[in-house]
Amino acid sequence: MSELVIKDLHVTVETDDGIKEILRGVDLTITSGQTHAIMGPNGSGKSTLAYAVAGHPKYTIPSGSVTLDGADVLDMSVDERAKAGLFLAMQYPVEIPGVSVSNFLRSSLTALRGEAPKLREWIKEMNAAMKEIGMDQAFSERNVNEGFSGGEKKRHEILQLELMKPKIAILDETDSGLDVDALRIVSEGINRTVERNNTGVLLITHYTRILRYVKPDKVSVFVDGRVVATGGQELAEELEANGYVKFSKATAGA
Amino acid sequence: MSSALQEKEILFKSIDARPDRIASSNPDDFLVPNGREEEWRYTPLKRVGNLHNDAKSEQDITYEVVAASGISHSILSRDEVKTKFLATDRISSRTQSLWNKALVIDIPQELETKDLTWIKVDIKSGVQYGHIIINAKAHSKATIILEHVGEGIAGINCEIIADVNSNIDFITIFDLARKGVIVSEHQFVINKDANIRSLVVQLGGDVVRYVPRAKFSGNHGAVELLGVFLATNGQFFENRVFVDHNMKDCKSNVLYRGGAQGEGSHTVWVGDVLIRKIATGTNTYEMNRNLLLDDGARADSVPNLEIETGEVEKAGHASVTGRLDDDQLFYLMSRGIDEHTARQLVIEGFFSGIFGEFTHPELKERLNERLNAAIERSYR
Ligand SMILES: Nc1ncnc2c1ncn2[C@@H]1O[C@H](COP(=O)(O)OP(=O)(O)OP(=O)(O)O)[C@@H](O)[C@H]1O
Ligand SMILES: [Mg+2]
Repeated sequence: MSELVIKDLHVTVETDDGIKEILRGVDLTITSGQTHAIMGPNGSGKSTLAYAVAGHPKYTIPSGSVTLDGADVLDMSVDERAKAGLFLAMQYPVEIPGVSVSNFLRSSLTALRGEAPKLREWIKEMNAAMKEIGMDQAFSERNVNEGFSGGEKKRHEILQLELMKPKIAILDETDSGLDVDALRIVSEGINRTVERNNTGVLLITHYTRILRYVKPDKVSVFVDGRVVATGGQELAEELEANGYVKFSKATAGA
Repeated sequence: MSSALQEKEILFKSIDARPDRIASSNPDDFLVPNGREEEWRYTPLKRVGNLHNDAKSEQDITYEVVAASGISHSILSRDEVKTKFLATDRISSRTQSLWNKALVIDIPQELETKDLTWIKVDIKSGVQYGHIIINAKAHSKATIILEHVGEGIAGINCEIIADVNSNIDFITIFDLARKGVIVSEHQFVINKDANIRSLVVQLGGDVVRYVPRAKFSGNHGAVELLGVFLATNGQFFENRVFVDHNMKDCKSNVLYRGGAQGEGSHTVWVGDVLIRKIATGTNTYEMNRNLLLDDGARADSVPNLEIETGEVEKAGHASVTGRLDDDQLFYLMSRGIDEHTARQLVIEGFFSGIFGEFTHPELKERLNERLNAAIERSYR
């Protein structure tokens, strides 16, 4: 049983016209085996939350805390966070020229497991996982994300999720840019991970359609750098019908 | 007209692009550079052991050769060597006038071999000058590796002459000890239907200045000039490439990838391609990509393309200098990979394609070993 606890998290970035506060006191708890959906308008800070928790150097955290089973996540380097059991599927996965998918995945699993997987078993494991997520084996020899279509990049993120078996996974708009079939396959991957590894999921999305495949235990509304409401799946339906207007007003007065 | 002057005239037409440049084996034809000249503006002349001024030869250079069967080699003194080599700057002309022993490699007509020929030059401490001639006769095919190691100071020139329809892979490695200095001019002459693929690798040494110059002696020749360099901890590496398209329907491809890391580390790449009026049907591309690994390092990159004919098949040039990407490192590290390994993956990835064409397993392994050792040094 694991728990990622985010308390009163403030995040700033440095811009040309000074320091800008993007997250303004986020409180969230993500628990093993549970799926927590976050919905919010463009620019509200959802990706910033994901990156800040994963430790991207661009973001500064003036106050607040993030702990994983009591351990101070903010005190860890990016790779230590991954080793502690955190995973981030990125909204825009990064291309790495000259580094093959198989070399990348093997380096990652070697780091996470503390020893290099045996070559033969590794190839079996990778091929099986690729098959499940509907990625052709040819991808293993291609460079990481280079020339991948939007959908292929997202599948590749979920492939990593399945291989890395994190305690807590943050999935940033993994559903964006997927056609219906890909959406179903990716959703099944997420569900498998929750089932097999009891992973706790923070699912960032704009659309309820993924929530038909991946059932959230909770839905939170994220506006202007903080969580403004939390409820069940019915909250998502309401957002899709009426938008964020109601919630934006709520924070404007606060 | 004196014969020296005649020689100059000939070369003036055949080797050099710019009319203000001369080509000569007489050092007195070149002024001692002071560092303000265009071609010397980047080179740290204080660190070249006076090669540009008056450094005397202190010993003979030593060549060690392990040749593929059928390829002969001999070490000859000045009066035994016939060469038309005319140097194009002060250091290479001093080198040309000061060497005592030259290495001559002969690849006989129609000899085809996949086996490697290794030339190892160990630059002992002190100053030395050398000259190497590689003669590939018609229809031959071979791979020659010229490897420079050692901690001394050297000027070494090389001629690579590829006769009709020959196919030569030529790999030059500069991997000197930290205080080593070398300045080299390589002249490639490509005859009809011949093909030279060359690769230069600069990894070790305090100052390495490399001037590869290619020209054609027949139509339908092809030359590839590839390069990999990684300067760390204050090293200076310079490449001045010149391709003279002086024949019809020839092809050239210049691709250099460089990295620089650490305070004072400096790389220079200047690529000049000249397509003369007569050189119709030319196909040329030159590209330099640099990766700066931190704020202390510097990379200068200057591509030039001069076209005198309207009938080229293809001509392009480009230069890109970027920084090690935070997002790439973050992506790898967010998958549990430590910073050291992440940097290594990104840097290796950056350089990866360029050894690709040289598939001989032993060669590939040696090149990768040396590159990885240099990447490793960049963490200290
Ligand atoms: N480095 C930066 N410099 C300046 N502004 C930034 C920087 N990074 C993020 N921002 C700003 O912070 C805000 C939040 O961005 P973020 O990407 O977290 O939003 P989001 O909720 O993920 O949006 P979307 O739904 O479009 O993905 C935006 O206004 C964005 O422009
Ligand atoms: Mg976002």
